[in-house]
Amino acid sequence: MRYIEPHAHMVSRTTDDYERMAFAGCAAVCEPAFWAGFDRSSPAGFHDYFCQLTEHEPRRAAKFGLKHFSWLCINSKEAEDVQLAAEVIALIPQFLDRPNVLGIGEIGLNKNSRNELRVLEMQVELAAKYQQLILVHTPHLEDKLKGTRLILDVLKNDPRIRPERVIIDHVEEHTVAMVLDRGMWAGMTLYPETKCTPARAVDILEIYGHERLWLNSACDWGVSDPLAVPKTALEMKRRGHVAAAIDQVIFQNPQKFLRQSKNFKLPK
Amino acid sequence: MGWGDGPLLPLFGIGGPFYLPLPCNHSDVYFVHERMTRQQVLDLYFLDARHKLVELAAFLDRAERATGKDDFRLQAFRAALSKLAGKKKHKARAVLLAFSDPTAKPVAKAPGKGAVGAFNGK
Ligand SMILES: [Zn+2]
Repeated sequence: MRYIEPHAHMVSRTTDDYERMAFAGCAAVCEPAFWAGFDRSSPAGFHDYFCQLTEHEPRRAAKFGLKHFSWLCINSKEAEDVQLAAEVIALIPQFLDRPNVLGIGEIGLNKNSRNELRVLEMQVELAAKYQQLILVHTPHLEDKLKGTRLILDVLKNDPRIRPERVIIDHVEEHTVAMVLDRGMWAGMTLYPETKCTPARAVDILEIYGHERLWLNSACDWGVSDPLAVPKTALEMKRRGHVAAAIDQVIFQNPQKFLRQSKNFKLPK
Repeated sequence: MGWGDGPLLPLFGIGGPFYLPLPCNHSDVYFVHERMTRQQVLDLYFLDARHKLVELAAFLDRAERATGKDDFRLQAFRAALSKLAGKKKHKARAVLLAFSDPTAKPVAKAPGKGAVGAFNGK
C-alpha cells in the first residue's frame, strides 16, 4: 500500500510517528500551518514557525524517506487580532518560493467571527495575488455548518479563485455535498472523537463517489492518530473496495490535487 | 509495495477476524464495487453499533441520575436522538444538523476558541 498524508501537524509529533507512517506506506506528508495550542505573542513567533515548516521539518521527514511539504498562513484561532494577522500575512510572500511550499493554508474560520472572516478574506487575497493553492479549515462541531457556508461565500465572491484549486477540509455528512457541488475538493479528517471515523468516511465515499475527495489524519498535539489514513484503507478493504479504488482515494487523489502546485513532486 | 486482494494481515490490532471477502465487480469500472448486502453490514457493524447504543443509554441514565438541570447540550442531544427513529434517510446528517448553529451572520467577536458540540441558541 502507498498513501499520501495530505494534512498532518508533524511539528507536534515524534520521530516514532514518522517511522510508523513510513512503515505503513506513506510517500509524502503535507503540513498546514496551524495553532500551536497557545497564542504566539508576535509576528516573530510565526516567522520562526514558517522556518520550522520549510527548513527543519523536511529534514526530519527525510530521515525516514518521507517527502515533506507545507502550507503557510495564520490560522483562524489566532485571527481575532486583525493587526497581528496583517503583520503575519506580510511575512508569508518571502516564504512562498521555498521548495516545499504548496500554498496558503489552513485558512478558514473557527468561531465564525467578523474578524476571523476579515482575516480569511485577506488570506484569500494573498492566495489569489500569488496564484497559490488554498487549503481551508472548517470550524469544529456546532460551528461547522455555518462556518462552511460563510467560507464558501467568501471564495465564491472572488472570481480569481478557481474551485478546483481549493480543498475544503474536515467535511462531514452535513457539509460534504455543498463543497463538492461548488466544484471544490473535500477533505475528510479521521479523528477518534470529532470529525469522521473510518467507517463514516467510507460511507461518504460510497455515497458521493471517489472524485475530489481525500482522507487525512490531521494529527497534531491533541487526541489524533497519524495512522488514520492507512487504517481507513483497511476499512475500505474490509468492505470489499478493490485495491485500485483504495489507491485512488489515498494516493492518486491527493497527488492529483497537490500536483497543481509546481512544488509537489514525488521521487520516481 | 503491492496491495493485493489477498487476506488482510492483522495490522494495527484490527483486520483478520473481521475481514469479509466480498464479491467485487471491477472488470471495467474498477472503483464501483458491489455494495455490501444488509446482512453483511449487520455482520460487520451490528455489535459495534449495539455497544454504542448501550453507551448512549447509560450516558442518559447517568445524566438523569445526577442532580441539577438540563442545559442546551442535553436538549440538543435529545433532539438529535429523535432523528434516529423512523425510515428517513441520511440520519447521520440529520443528527449533525440537530447540533449545528443554524444562524447565518458572523458573530461580533469570537467567544473563546473552543466548541462544545451543541449550539447554545440563547
Ligand atoms: Zn489541521
